[in-house]
Amino acid sequence: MTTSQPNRTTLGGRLIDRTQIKNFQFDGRSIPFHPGDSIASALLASGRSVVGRSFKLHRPRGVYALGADEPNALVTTGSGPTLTPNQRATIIPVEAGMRVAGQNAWPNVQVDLFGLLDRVRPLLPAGFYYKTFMWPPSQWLRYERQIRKMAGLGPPPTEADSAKYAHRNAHADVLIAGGGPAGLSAALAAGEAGQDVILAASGQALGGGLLNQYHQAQDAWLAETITKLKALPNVRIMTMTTVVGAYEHNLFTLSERVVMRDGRMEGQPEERFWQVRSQRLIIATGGIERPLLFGDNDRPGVMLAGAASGYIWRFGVLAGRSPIIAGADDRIYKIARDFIDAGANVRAVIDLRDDPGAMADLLAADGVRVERGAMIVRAHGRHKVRAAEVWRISEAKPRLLELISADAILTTGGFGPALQLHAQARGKLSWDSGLRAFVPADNPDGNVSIGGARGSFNFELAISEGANAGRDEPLPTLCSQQAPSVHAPWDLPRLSKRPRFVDFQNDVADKDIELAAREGYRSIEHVKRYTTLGMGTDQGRAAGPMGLALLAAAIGQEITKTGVTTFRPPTTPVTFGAVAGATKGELGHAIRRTAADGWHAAQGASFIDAGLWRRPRFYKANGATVGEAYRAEAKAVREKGGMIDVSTLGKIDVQGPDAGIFLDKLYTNRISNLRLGRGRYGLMLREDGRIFDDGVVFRTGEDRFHLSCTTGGASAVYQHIEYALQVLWPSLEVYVTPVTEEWFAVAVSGPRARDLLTALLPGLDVTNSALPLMGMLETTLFDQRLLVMRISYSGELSYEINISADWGAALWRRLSELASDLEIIAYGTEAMGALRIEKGHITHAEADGRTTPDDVGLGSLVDKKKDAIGVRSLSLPVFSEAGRKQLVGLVVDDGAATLPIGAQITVDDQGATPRPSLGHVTSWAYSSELQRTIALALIKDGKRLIGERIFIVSPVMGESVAGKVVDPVFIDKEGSRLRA
Amino acid sequence: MLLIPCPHCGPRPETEFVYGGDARVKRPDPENSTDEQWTSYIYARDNPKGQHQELWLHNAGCHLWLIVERDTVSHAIGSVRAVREGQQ
Ligand SMILES: [Zn+2]
Repeated sequence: MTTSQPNRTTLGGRLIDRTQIKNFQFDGRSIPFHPGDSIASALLASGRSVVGRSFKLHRPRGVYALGADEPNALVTTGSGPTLTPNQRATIIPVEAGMRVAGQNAWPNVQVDLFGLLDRVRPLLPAGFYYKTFMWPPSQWLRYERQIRKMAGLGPPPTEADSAKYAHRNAHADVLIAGGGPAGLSAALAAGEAGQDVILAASGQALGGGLLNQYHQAQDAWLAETITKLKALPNVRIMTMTTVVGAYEHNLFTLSERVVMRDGRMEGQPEERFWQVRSQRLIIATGGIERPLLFGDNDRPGVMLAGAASGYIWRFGVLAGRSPIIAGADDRIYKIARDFIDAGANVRAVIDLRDDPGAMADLLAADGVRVERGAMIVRAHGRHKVRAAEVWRISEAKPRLLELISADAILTTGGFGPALQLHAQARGKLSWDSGLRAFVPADNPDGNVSIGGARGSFNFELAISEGANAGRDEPLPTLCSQQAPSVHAPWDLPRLSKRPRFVDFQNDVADKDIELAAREGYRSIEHVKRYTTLGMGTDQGRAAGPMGLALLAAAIGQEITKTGVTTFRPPTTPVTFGAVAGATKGELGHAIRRTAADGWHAAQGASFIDAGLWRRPRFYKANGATVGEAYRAEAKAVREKGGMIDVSTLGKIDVQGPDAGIFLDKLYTNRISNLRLGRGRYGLMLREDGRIFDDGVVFRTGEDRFHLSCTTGGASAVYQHIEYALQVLWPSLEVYVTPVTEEWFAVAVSGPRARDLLTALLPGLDVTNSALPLMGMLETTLFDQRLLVMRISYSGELSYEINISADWGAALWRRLSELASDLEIIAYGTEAMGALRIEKGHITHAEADGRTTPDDVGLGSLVDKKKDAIGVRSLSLPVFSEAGRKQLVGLVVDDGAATLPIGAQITVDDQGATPRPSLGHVTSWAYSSELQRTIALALIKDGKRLIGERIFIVSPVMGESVAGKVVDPVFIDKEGSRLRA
Repeated sequence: MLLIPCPHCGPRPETEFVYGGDARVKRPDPENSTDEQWTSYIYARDNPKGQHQELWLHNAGCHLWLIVERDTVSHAIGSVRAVREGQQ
């Protein structure tokens, strides 16, 4: 089996179990691995160099980094219901039998035909798509579809996700982000001080950067610390868990991947999404390694040097058998020795410094080629690094030294702190000229950065800062640990015409940033969006600082002035599944059902959402389509009768000695003079004069009123009432209770409505004198209190019957039995809508937050002699100016025409465009009674236009319907049916 | 996410509350206010950097309207009291 793992070495491999070999699939091929491998380490071990293609240019790409900063090795795992695209191969533990696919290539990553795009790379600079494909606008959709196909990440899943996800909540005294030496030291100090600690480590194993090296003393410290931590019951250690978000008042979100070691237990989730409220956050997220900049620096085989040695010590994998290692600090010599010890033939070590000192001399003395004052100018090789062009730069004129053959180019430009959490917590940054990096400048909300995350890239510093932070003691002053090196990793002469990529995932090269600067971009936020710099899944971890530095240089500005882009959660991609948790499918949102919901469902109701409620839209027995059904239902109501479940309307109980006075302040019309047992339609305004809600108020007692409001407005109305009571008029003695859920309500309407009421309540006097319009009777049914209110929305003789919700199903069933003899049917909201349009009654389509009572013809409901919310605003000049939109009715020439959605009203449909819009259709329906299409519309000066011809047009749909403006009340203008 | 200490219910997450705007805005007497005073009451709001007095309704809790002192920069919350308390 070792032959199929040519790059596996016997050195290192502390995370893998070499005694076992298993297999997984990559692009259909079986690849061996040891338990503990990541997808990336297994692919590297098998000698697989190309694992993906770049986003725009489809350049072949290989594994580049070790963790969340990986820009290249994005893979799709699973298939069908388990397919998950865009996973970073560096952080996903590989599992036996796993199916993994490379991305963004056709037919596969080795032979990608779209790779031809790279040949025309000079034609595809930053902003190319913006500049080229914007005209004509009608063609953009077509271009966009094609561009999307070619430039993209993994395929979106086409089946519902079969995985389970969970949400968890926790509280802690201290949350520690990062399981490296700083984080572990902090956890131990806090744990020993008796604090409740959560330690979140992104990897499978604790140790962070210590796992990327061999160091006897530090390894011993690590083992001892882990043992001590595991003995502390107040410390919760969470591996494969990343702190992804920092929010106000120390709420943090964590993404946990549940790793399958020996088969996941039945029912266990794949990921957990945590919300942790912690007194303190200790940020120990370490540093991010930065590369050097050179031509074709994205070729497979080019890697971060620190990451490459990490693959040895973690996984026993050699990223190259004959590598070149380049950098500007002493770590490159240590890394070279790691490779030599692991059996590699290190071709050369290239140091930017002219005089690096003893480490260089010692390595050279051991026979390794060391070039001082030199740099790599470009990589050779397309699918795999073949050689590096090395130039001498210490002399006045740079000159080519040699093309050195190699199978890997490992570079490092030092580390910068991982600032994501600090910045998300609104921490400030300052520029450290020694580190050439932004570092945390404060401790926002007491949240402190330690170790590499603070810029302290040193074991002793990390653990001492950890101990201080764990005990909540101040940290020692930060002093830069190194003198600035001569060369910043980005400040290297361009000696090759080949592109030097800054952001690999989005194919952004240094020239693109310079182009953006030449075109006038100055803000890094704009450059980011224009070039797509740092917008990939790695979130610009490596690209960000380099991009900033290049932009600063291009516009001749200090990097501190250029600033940084905003860091937003999540710090690392989180799957939608984890965010959704269990709230999907049926649990996606709560459904409120009325007491008669079971009957509606059994009778074949087609439901529609109304806020959280579900209501019958129509009953399938009345028609095959919604159109057929509502016409039949509306016709039945007008000719015989219908019953509809109106339990969803909001109901509010208002009591107290000042209740009447209070309601006078809420409604535009007077409520306090209602007689006992009588009701009145009322309008509520917002304080700015616009209609807020409407409904009927009944006086049910001397000091007691029963309010109804719209289904959708119920909760906002209640908030509004509490505001009026507690904030505006707190001295009134009034008690308000929302009682929607306590009542079941059914409206019985139509010429036979009284017959049905009599059948339900034999012996009760329901004649006009005993129960007139806007009257109310109280009686009992099933030994329950029953309220019968004579109100009408449909325009027919109508009663609203209310009973305790517990008895709602029984009431509905009784009524439906009695109704069948009378040929009265149940109807849904669609027919209700048609009936109210015939009567010109408004809903939220007309009271759209812009209209006043006058606009919709309800001006007479405003009593200007008293103060009510919003009434003062109605006397502002703007509301009496000409040109306001007013509610009118519309009929169309072609009686049965359907109207376009979002239709506008114009005086003409010929001639030049754009034609001014007079207004828009708010609702329309086919009137079964009038046997034609009718509509309500808000039209400028509409009342004056009654009788005028108009066109109902939709330029978007290319539709136009000729019609006429009419009065908004289409039937029974005198209201004789209501009083029948 | 803010953690608002409701005087009735204890510390509760922001999602239980509804924001109600600047608590210092007072409704003028509609009879005796000019159009300017009235429109200023409806539309004009300060956008202070730092200390702010805000109205929050504990909608998923006790239904009290609260006056919350919040720093708009740091989100630090100072005193919290029911609106009614100060006025009755
Ligand atoms: Zn409360």
